[in-house]
Amino acid sequence: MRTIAFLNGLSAALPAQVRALQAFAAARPALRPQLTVVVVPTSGVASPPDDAPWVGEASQAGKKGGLAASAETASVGPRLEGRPGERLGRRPAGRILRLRTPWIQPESLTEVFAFLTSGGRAEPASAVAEALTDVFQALRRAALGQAPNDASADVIDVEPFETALFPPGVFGAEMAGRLAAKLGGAAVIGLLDVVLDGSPPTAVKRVYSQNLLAGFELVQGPYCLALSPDWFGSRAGRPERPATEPADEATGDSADDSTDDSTPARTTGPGAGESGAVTPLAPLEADLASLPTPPRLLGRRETPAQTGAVLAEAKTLVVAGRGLDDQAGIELAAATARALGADWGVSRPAAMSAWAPLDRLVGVSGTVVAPRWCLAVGLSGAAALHAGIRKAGFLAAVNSDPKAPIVGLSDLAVIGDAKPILQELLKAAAEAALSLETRPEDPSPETQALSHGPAAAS
Amino acid sequence: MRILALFKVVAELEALTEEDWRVDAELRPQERYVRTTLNPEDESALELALRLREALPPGEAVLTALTIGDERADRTAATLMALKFDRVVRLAPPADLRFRPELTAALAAAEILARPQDLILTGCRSADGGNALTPFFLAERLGWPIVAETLSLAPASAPEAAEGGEETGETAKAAETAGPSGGASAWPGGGLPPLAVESLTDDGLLRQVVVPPLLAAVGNAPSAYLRVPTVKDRLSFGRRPPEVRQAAKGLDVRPRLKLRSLTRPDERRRVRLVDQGAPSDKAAILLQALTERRP
Repeated sequence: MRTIAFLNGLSAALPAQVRALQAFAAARPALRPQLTVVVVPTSGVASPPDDAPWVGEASQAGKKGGLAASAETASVGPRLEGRPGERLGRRPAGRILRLRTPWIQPESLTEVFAFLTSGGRAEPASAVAEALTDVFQALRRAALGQAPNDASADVIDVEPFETALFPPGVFGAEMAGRLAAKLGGAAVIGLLDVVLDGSPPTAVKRVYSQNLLAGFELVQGPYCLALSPDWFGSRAGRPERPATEPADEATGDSADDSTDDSTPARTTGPGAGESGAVTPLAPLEADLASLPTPPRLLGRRETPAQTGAVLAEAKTLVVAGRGLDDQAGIELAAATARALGADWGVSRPAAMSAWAPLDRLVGVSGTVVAPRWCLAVGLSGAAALHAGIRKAGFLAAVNSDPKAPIVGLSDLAVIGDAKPILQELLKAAAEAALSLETRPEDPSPETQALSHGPAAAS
Repeated sequence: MRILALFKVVAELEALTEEDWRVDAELRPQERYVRTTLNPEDESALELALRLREALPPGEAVLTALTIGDERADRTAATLMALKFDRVVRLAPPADLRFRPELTAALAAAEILARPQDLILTGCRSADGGNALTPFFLAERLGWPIVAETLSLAPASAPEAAEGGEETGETAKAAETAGPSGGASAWPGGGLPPLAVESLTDDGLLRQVVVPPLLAAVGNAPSAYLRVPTVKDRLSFGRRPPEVRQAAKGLDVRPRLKLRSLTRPDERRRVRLVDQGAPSDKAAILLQALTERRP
């Protein structure tokens, strides 16, 4: 299946995006992108995903004369009406195209992405088409560069891509949705898997606020698929860690370890065994700096807030919910977490009540984490929240209701009023001078909390 | 400014029992018999619409609330009437719209094209279908800009419009156009006032100054729960029924995907239950369990 992937290189989350796509593609060779498009800053050094597993295959294809032989390998090349050289030569799989732009312009990028996905068939607005000249030229030069002496003989029709892959997150969801709307294809946000054993393919995702697993037959292409946040921090090939498998303990793997057997090493692509080391193809470059500013946009300012990144790598985590009654209750949970050397987060109701900043939100609408252990306090166990912590190796809960869903979802459930138990846990952890994870930049105010109450431990 | 808030009423999913989650032949869980609630992000969209009306000069905002659904939405519609929305419209759906964002968007667009609007507010996703696509499909259908994951929006002051323009090179133009005094009322030329829209991105907060038309898809907006109308307003305004019509017919919108299966995953763990002892005893058990599993 001809696949194109899009990544946001203007985001600090790019490495995590790449790892998520790698993990997804590892067990789905039919969906490995032939072209990966990365939007990167106009200036400065971008971190390119040159180590994407599919790049290895591309370079091997290149060593066989620069031509692609397999059905998986698509020719890539958009065309513009009335421009010369509309028929591009075959190019090997796994190419990377860097699009340089000063900032994300969703309206214009949607047109650029539609142009690329459709193999040049989508009609961009005239202002965007001007900027695309540069993209077109970059692709054309690369195509000719692969077979400089045989360009005319190697020309084939440009074909559209069947699948457009996007990483988890705001960028991926917006671009997948808008691209599908523009090209008339099916879109799935929050993709867990694609089943290709039938025709047409079936996409799997969670619906009903994470309570049910749905299988959707993809009727209309191109398929615009944005991965689920479950793919963040996942081992290759699997979005989710089985609840009963404390993987870290059993295997020694870290959550984002890529040593799993199912992970294709950089030399495992077709023909890789012939030469061993792999030299990735040089990325293509194109400049989108001339993309027009939307006329109705008078100004924009982005404030980095490490959204999501605060908790994404948490090894141990305390998550607090509305059952703690108020902001003071959340602060008690935060102080307890610090005493345990853990990170802390909150449920959506707690975040929506402004008891904690949004970057502490855990769940499907916040951060999905895969900690060694997670302590859930004052949470009912709603599926949307559980989606954020289901990958925890060990899940403990404190809840006053033995019938609360979180009880059955846990390895250890302590029944009782959360606040007194947290106070005791904070006290015990502080007395034992326990620190499961040293965080020197974040001095623990638990002693202060013990002296003056939870409100002091902000 | 003509403001439309697109909302949906959904089953309160936390009220469903395990038995209720078993789907029927139409691939539906037994959700019709539990109480309903406003879709959480739509609730925030409605509240943001009310706040924007308050922030604009009196009489400048005309508020419409639109839903595409059955009669279970009428109770919420009455609440919105009591909150003095100028119009509340319910379109009877022509089909099961749970997983038809392209059709939902087409129906909404038909309504909006028939009765033009300047600003649309809606949630990013619904609690049941969870497609997270309707706002994008609607914006693309209308040819409007969209701000996804909106947290807040308000009339932009002139200094803000000027200051915020530095990244797009529109600083001088914005300041000149907005005038010296700032605020919505200072926006000259009879045009729509620019809005300062704050949204969440993958990396932080994005604040943009945008001139409508605009679709703001509301995400996790803190402290944006829908206010409660006074008893007096409920009695005075909340008794008017919503406008109920059939959704537009004859729209040629083919499904892009089809639901084939719906299953309830079993994610229970083998739980050890601790329900006896003093809080200090329970804390000790917790501490030991967590200590044993230190990274």
